[in-house]
Parts: sequence; structure tokens; C-alpha cells
Amino acid sequence: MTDTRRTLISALAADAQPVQRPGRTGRMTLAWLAAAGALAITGLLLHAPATVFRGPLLLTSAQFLLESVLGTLAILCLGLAAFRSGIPAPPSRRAIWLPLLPFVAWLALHVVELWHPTFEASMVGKRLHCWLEVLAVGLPGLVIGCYAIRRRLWPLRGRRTGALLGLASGALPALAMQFICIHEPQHILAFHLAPMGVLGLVGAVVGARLLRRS
Amino acid sequence: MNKRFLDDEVRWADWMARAQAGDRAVYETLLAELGVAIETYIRVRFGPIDALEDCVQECLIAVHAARQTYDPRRLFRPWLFTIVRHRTIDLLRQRRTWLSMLDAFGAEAQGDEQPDRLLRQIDGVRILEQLSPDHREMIALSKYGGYTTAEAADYLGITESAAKARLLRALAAIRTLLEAEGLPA
Repeated sequence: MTDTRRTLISALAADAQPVQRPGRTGRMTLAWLAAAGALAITGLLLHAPATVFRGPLLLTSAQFLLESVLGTLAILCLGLAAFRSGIPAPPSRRAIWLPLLPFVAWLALHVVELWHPTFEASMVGKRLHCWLEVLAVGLPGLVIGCYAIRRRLWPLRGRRTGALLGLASGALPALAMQFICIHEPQHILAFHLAPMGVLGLVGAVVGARLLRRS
Repeated sequence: MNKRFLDDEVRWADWMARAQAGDRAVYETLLAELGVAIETYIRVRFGPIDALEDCVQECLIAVHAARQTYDPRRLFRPWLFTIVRHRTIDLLRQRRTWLSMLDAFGAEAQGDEQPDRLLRQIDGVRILEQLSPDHREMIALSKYGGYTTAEAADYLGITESAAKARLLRALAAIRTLLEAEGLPA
């Protein structure tokens, strides 16, 4: 062993304070989801009060219930995948693709709704600049998630981690919009889900620059 | 997994769990063993590369900085060598980028009309070029950028002790290079 390596190892060992393990990333994901979700909903309601709330329709429309459950599952899985990717270990292919399935199913359901809409077309609940709202209230979730991951974890694929986190952050307000904005398939795809994709791209860029730790 | 790997796996996982709890003596022994394992891994995986020792030390620093992410319920070796692989690839990429920048600089410098200034620049660049990317970064931050060790550590996302160690190693490397060329260290 060289002298410089020995010196380095001594310095690193001297610096070895007890550390807190990240534990189950599920807990971190739930904490993030609670904080980001609360911020997103508060942000939406502060910007403009909801003129409609479709919550009760969950009991009467199976399709609406399905898309809401898939949306919630998609957010959970995307968040979990983002936090899991902050642990340096080679994930199996299943671990990478499985969490994306609910997300893909959620998107696919919205595409299918172009031909089989959940509700009759109406302008009830129209919000001005809802696409901008999705972007704006999704950002805090991305920031909080990036902070938590950078502080507690060690992502080696920053772009992937950031993209997953960006999509999860954007999916939160996009899902909320299903309850309080126009429920019309084209509108949802263009003004709720497309901004979510933009946040995914923002997350990828931010992740590549700020998250990657190697 | 053969018996030696299995023994290493069990021992390292146990030691890392104890290091996470703050056992410095065990951690020092663990890092010493990991240094040898990392060196072997880099040799086997990446072939003969220059600045091997720097790569090993940078990997040890990365392992130290990421140690809180190791979960004792999972295997240690995949966790370790994922970090080592990514860190080594990063270092090799940085080195390649730096060398291509130097080539570009050399091409531009051909038309310079002040030979003394150019020679001084080239001399400094030449010495720096022989340092590892992280050593160059550390020297640039602390000696050219005027950062304190704490500020440089914060900028690089490493602990202050690791930054101090990195700076010490960078200065030692410069001293060795200068002595090798018969220049005052």
C-alpha cells in the first residue's frame, strides 16, 4: 500500500462518524409524497379555488375510479423508483421496468379515453392556464425530492433518477387536475399530462447536473 | 460465489455495518482491504490504466461518501463495485476530456507571439496535465480559485477531511513531478 493511500485511509477513518442508513426507501418515498402532494394541492387551491370536485364520482364511475387508482399507483411507483435509484447497486431489469407499468397503463388509459371518454364533454371546472399550474406546483416536489436524494442517497444515474422524480412530481398535480379541472381526454393529454412530461425532462436535466454522485 | 468471495462478502458486510455505527478501527481495516480489492478490480476490468493509484483512492473516497447508502440486508460486493465502476469510468472520461482540451490549447498556442509567457503557461499546464482530474480540480479550486478547504469540500460534495486529504495528495503528486523533472519543489 502506498503512503498516500495509507494517509488517505487514516483520514477517512478519522472522519467516520456514525451515519443514518436510508432504511427502506419506501418510507422516504411516502414522506416525499406527503410533502409534495400537500404542496401541490395547496398550490392549486391557492392559485384558484376549485369550482368542481369529482371525488364523489369515484363511487359511481368505474372508469374514473380506475384512472384515479392507476394515477395514484403510478405516482407511488415512479417516486419509489426514483428513490431506489439513489442506492448504488445494480438493479435487476424487473426493478427498472416494473415501476413504470402503472404509469404506462395510466397514460394508455387516457389515450383509450379519446374514443371512450369517462364523462360527457363539458367545460365544467375550467381553470385558466392549468398547464402552467401543473408545471408550477409540480416543481416544489421535484426540488424537495432532489434535495432529499442528494442529502441521503448516492445516485449514480442522475439523469434517470431526475427524470423519474420529475415525472412523479408532475403526475401529482396532473392527477389532482382530474378532480378539479375539465375532464376531457384531449384536454387532459395536452394540458395535464404533457406538462408532466416537461417536468420529466426538467428532472432529467437537473438530475444529470445536480444529482449524479460518483 | 466461490468461498473466498463469500468470506469477503460476509466480512466486509459486517465491517461496513459496524463502520456505519462509527467503529473507526474496523472501518480503517475495511478500507485497507477494499483498496486492494478495488485495485485488482480496476486492473481486471479496465486493463492497464495510468493513474491507477489515483483511481483507487478516488474510489475509496466515493465509498466513504456513499457509505450511508449501504444496506446490511443486501450484498456488499455489488454495492461496492457499482460505485467503483462508475467512478473509474468518470475519471477516465474526465482525463480524456482534459487531454483533448490540452491538444486544442497546444494548437491555439502555436501562433502566440510571447514565447516566455507561453512556456510558463505550458509548463504549468504540463504539470497539471499529469495530475488526476480530481487533483487538478482540487488544486484549481484551492490554489487558483481561492476556495477554503471547507468551501472546496462543499463545492465538490465531499467531506472536509476528504478534501484535505485530496489536496494533500495533489500537492504531494505535484512535488513528485517537479522533483522528477529536476525543478524546485
